[in-house]
Amino acid sequence: MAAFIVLFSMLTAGGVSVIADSSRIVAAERHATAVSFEAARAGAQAVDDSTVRAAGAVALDPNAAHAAATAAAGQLLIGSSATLTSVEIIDDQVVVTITDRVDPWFPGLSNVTVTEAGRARLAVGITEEGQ
Amino acid sequence: MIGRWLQRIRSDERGDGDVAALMFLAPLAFGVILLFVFVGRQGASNQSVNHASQVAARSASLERDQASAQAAGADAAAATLDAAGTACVGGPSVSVTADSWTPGGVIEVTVMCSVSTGDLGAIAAPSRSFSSTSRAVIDTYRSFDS
Repeated sequence: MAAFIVLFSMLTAGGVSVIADSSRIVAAERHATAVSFEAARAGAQAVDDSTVRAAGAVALDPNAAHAAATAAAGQLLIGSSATLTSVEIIDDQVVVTITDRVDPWFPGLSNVTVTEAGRARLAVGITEEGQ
Repeated sequence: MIGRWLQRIRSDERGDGDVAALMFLAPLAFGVILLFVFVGRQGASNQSVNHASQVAARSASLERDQASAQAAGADAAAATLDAAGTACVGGPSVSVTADSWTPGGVIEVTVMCSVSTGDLGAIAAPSRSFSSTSRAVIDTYRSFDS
């Protein structure tokens, strides 16, 4: 009977840990996704003023976009265990990657690393793109 | 003849152990199932509150003045929680602030929700409050009246 109670308690605790850990991993993924998209969006608004004035065309200023995305990510991640992994400028797109680590409560499981990338590009329009 | 048969039935203890074990195991198994439901529901509620704060922050950042941003954030959080089926006791509490109500400023939305666990009274599940804070950046090229 004692063996049964010990086994039953361990299985119950294991089940609870698995459910709780799954929830925490999903929460970390969603948070990383939200922050990466917001930071990328902030970076994609860095319009190159000189190109607009010279040619009338709207283009991304890569350095300013990188700086804006990095600054935004820094503010959005305040109080979070997640970190900014990279900011890439690819043509007119800003790609921000956020990484977080979840330490499972379930004994014996190794840490889970969550990496999410958000992508935004410069677009111009009033009610629709290109207007 | 019948008396002896009844006496034999009364004195027969075969199966008593199974009944006792069943009486012990059935409530225990029921309690464990309720515990799993409780933990799973806590996770789902936490997800809902997180998502609501993210949606609220984005909604607030799309408005053009502080009052509209606060109203949009509160509405978006309530609608998101409602759509997710997360019922907050007394309704959700939504706080919308910003470090600067200007383009490029960061809007911060905190959503608090106290989830009822009254239907899990069999395991004396405690009521829990969830809180989540999300932030969004106000667009750079946007008219915004502080």
